[in-house]
Amino acid sequence: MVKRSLFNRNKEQKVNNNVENFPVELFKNLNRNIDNLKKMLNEPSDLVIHEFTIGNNKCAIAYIDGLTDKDMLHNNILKNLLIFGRKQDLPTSETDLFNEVQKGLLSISSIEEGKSLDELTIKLLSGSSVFYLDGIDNVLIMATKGWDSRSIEEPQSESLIRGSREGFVENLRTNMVLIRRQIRDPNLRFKTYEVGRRSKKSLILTYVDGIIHPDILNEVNRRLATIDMDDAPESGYIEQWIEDNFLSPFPQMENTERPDKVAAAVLQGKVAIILDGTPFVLIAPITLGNMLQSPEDYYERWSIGSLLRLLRYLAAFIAMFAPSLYIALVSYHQGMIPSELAFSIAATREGVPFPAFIEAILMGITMELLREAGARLPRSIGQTVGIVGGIVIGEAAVTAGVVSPVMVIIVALTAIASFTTPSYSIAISFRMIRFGFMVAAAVLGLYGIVLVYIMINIHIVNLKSIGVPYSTPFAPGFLEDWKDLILRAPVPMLTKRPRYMQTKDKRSANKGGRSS
Amino acid sequence: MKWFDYADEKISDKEIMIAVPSIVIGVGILSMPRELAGATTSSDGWISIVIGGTIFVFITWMVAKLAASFPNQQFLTYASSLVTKPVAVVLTFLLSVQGIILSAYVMRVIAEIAKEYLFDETPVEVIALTFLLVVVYAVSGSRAGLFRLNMMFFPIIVIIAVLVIVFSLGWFNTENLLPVFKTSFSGHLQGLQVSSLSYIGFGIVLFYTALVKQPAGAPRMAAIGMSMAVGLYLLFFIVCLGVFGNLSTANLIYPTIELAKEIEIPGGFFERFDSVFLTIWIMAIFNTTAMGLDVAVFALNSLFNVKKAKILFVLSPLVYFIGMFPKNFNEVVTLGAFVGYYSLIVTVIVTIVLLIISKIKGGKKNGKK
Amino acid sequence: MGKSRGICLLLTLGLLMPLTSCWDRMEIEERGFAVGSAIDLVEKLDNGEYKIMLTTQFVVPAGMSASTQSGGGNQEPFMNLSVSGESVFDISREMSKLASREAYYPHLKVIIISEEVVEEPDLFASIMDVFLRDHEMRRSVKLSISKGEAKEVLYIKPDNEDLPAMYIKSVMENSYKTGGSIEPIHIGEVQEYLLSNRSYVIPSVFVAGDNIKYEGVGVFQGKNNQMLEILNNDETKGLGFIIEKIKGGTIKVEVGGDLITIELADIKSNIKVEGKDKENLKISVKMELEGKIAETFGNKSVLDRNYFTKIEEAAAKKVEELAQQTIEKVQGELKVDVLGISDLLYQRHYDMWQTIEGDWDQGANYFSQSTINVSADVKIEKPGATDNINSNQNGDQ
Repeated sequence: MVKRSLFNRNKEQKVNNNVENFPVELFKNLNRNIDNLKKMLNEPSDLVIHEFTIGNNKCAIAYIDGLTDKDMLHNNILKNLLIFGRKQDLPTSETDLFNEVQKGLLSISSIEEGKSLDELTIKLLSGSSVFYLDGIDNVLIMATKGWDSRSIEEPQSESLIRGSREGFVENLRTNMVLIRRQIRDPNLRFKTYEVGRRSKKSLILTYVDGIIHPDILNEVNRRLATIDMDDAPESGYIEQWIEDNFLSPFPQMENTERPDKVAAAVLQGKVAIILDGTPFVLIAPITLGNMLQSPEDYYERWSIGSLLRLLRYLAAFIAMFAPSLYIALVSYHQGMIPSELAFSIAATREGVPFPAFIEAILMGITMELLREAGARLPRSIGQTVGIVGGIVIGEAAVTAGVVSPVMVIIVALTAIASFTTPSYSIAISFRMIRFGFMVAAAVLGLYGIVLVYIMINIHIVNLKSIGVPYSTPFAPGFLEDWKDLILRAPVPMLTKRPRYMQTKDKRSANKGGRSS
Repeated sequence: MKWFDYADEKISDKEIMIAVPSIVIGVGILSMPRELAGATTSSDGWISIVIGGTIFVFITWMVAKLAASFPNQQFLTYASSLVTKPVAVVLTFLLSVQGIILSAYVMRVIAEIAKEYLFDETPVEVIALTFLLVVVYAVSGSRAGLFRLNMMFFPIIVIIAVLVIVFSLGWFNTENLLPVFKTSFSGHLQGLQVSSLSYIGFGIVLFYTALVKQPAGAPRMAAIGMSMAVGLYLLFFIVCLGVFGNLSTANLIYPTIELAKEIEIPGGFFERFDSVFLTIWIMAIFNTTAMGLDVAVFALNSLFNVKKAKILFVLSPLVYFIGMFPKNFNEVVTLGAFVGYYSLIVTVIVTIVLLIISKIKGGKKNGKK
Repeated sequence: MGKSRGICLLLTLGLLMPLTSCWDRMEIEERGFAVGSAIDLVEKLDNGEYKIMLTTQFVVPAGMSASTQSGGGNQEPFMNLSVSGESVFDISREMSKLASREAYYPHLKVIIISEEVVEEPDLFASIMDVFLRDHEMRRSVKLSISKGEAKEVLYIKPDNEDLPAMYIKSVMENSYKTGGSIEPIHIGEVQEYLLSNRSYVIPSVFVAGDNIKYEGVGVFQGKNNQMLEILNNDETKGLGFIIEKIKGGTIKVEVGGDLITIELADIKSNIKVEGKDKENLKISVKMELEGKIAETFGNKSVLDRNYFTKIEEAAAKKVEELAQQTIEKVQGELKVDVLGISDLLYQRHYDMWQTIEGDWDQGANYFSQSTINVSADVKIEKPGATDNINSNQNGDQ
């Protein structure tokens, strides 16, 4: 556990707020309060302070332009206050007046009292409006959040043929809604954290109470509490902070844009972590088997789902092993290639100046370059890059005799196979491991490949995701869970939640089917 | 992190069931048909396998029974309570030596085989060293991880074994198995002796039962695991005999690998299946070596209160040098015989002695009640 | 825990890295793939050793018709190299120097050994040793003896295949199905023969014009693995029936003056040893054959039950004749048991076999003293698709 203490992630640290020389408390004097606020924020141009009077009492509303829903502010707050201010029988004491405003005037859903400058600044900066009344050292913080955000769209990174078209957006509330709409269980819990010393982002931990194993929950909570950094721009930061082993090439949490995937995971006794400002929701703990599953496996009939999974396991095998096996066979074990094929490979390699390993590395890197270029460029240009790279370079390289045609086939096959993995992050792992295999194959042929394979397995069996062994349910073996692993049993037979998650509520369905 | 039910260092009896065949099945099966066919007439070697197998399944059961009667106690602890502490220390030491020489021998053999079938020029030293490093990497991980490795590899090993057997059925000639029951008694005895050397390794049960959460089922599971190994041996032996006949089997250095060489995969996907078989079999051999080394580390760990990593740091060069000590193949065979007899004698004697004493002491205790 | 694992990982990788220039790495195009080998006898040296010539056929990948790239034009797809010497292993080393590429044997398909070589005592076994010992060799390499020079066979230029060795291999695999020779033998089986001290047969090939013929078998005697004689076509057929090593083939019979060709489909032979007297064993060979009528030259209805039975009887007689002829040859003339009776004795009469093992087809030669009875039973299942094509003459019969 050395690696963990390197970053002091185990120690719970007190988040120290950097309120340097400003008075943190609120005063009775309105002007002083306003001045303090302005000073703290250094009079930004988007800070709006609307001053007016109710009867003889000075008051003010402060908000950040652009972060608030202006319609709501005008119609439900300002309008009411102004009408109220013209009334004759106003309460005389400021406290009464303040209470009256708080209790009966503002037609808006969430009002709370703020007692410190610190508190109200954070709220203000996250879109609330603040109501000041002269003579009161309290303020009202009104939830008027509202800004332009992307509407719900089909997830870009995980498209399905069949299944919901909804994807998460950057807005935390919307994302919560999307999950709530999937699971209407009163036990669905949302626990809020605030992350980022400076960014103060909301982070929500979702789980279903009564399913999840309490230890998993405790562990996630413990780890989330240790997060201490300036900002978490994306859920990837959270993932990397709380993962078990950062030396591992394998992702220990799954990220998804799909609410249905999150809902399914939560119902299996996992937790989901939603961070404000990113559509990627983390799912943990995960196991190796999860990484090769797609929601579509469940939406299509079981035979199709099972076959698709088998196909994906095959694809994962090709993505990891194809180039290294090619190197091992061509550079070491030519006897294993069927005779006719061996002769024709030898014929095509005639005149290729590089050994198979260099050839494979060259083509592999070219492929990665193309993929990266395609991902960075705008979509229309990205396609052009694909065509130029794939067809022109591939064809030209063969004609020029730099690589052999079989190598091009292998590289293309590998690339396509690695794109079939439903999870982008595991696909990256596979690609990294592939290069390791290639080196091993170049050094020791098949023997090297099997040694590296053993090493990867050693790593996997020692790896844990939030304390759950990464290799379950293969090992430790839970045969029941094999129903939904390489093959997927028909839905009426999937009556139990995964054993390896040790859920409190074991069954997810009764024996289904026509008879029941 | 000891907070999650099955994720900690404890294992279940199912894992014992896999661990036993994982350590037993290794290099023995590759050459065993030759030795057995040489000792017996025609296909009569199967009798030796069945008889020897039954005996060893029973011994395994006894060993596990002994260990399971002291739930969650380490070998040193319960051995000390039965015989005195100094004797227990000696026994532990003897058993740890078994682990060391077993892994050293197996490492050497796999290096020799890999050189024969996969390489030509690459020195045995390098092949063995790379293999040993991977083994050390595995042993330095968690012990539960090692059992999980067994579970991951064992199905693959069984699948490849079944593939070889199924594909060789095309070459199988039942005439080759005839005549039956013609071996003399001394032939059977010799066959028994030869085949029993392939069953070594089950002594790990003495140590690993301590890790089993509910060891009550462990004896049964260990016996089932041993039967798996016996079954696989039997199948391989009969198929070798049926394909090659007694004479050829007795003259092939590694009949089991030659079996893989003989077969042709339908569709001609691989021209030579022996390399594929051997490559995958390396996993089986890896399991044996890793378990052997780990049990040595485990035993020594209970003797000396030093860190696992340190013990490993001392042991791994030792294993390497023992493995590299034989200069030629004949000396490797001699080392193998030594390892076999040593392990057999030590494990069986330790078990029997401890069992008898525990019976006597157990009887006394019951009498008191 | 975590630290030591990390260190081990780094150590492993670190040690692996400098090995990148590795001992055994050799790219596929640098290998000289040997696909066929032929062995001829050059001369018998005075010291009792033999000088032999090994001809190996190497693939020249650029000449393969599959590689349609420009350049390779009219290059030959193969190259035959002949080197003489005293041992096969030395020769093949020598050959690597000549070929500029290292000879690589895992793709070896056929080995042809000339009759001159196998006619010498013990030479065959010592030549085979290197092919069986070398782990590069597959056990399924096919072996054949050749009438005449063995290397000539490798110079055949086939029309439908690029490589003569491949052509020979496919001829061997396919032509025994139409009769004339027995199933090809692979070196794995040869090893069993060599080890077992029993007599055996190995099929032979010879060059006939632009083609090769896969016909006849050479009879080897077990004690010194010396070939005695090559059986002719009919004798081979008879042998094939007895030892079930023929897949099909045709026999021609004459029934009532009409020539009828029967295509055999399934052959079963059942050999039994009767009698306890080892000096006069009674051996019965019962063959059951199934076949169909392939060709009739007459005009009788094959649906006629009587006629049908007649054909069957005639066919059975013909089979018996063939088998008897073979037995006379191997038992009477050559006095070696290639009929598999010794295997049978070993398998079914182990105790008796113990007493006669050394004197079966050598020494006292009980084999030649035994009586062998042959009987055959032919069943014709299909009369073919048509009854009779000359129907107008049908009434006259």
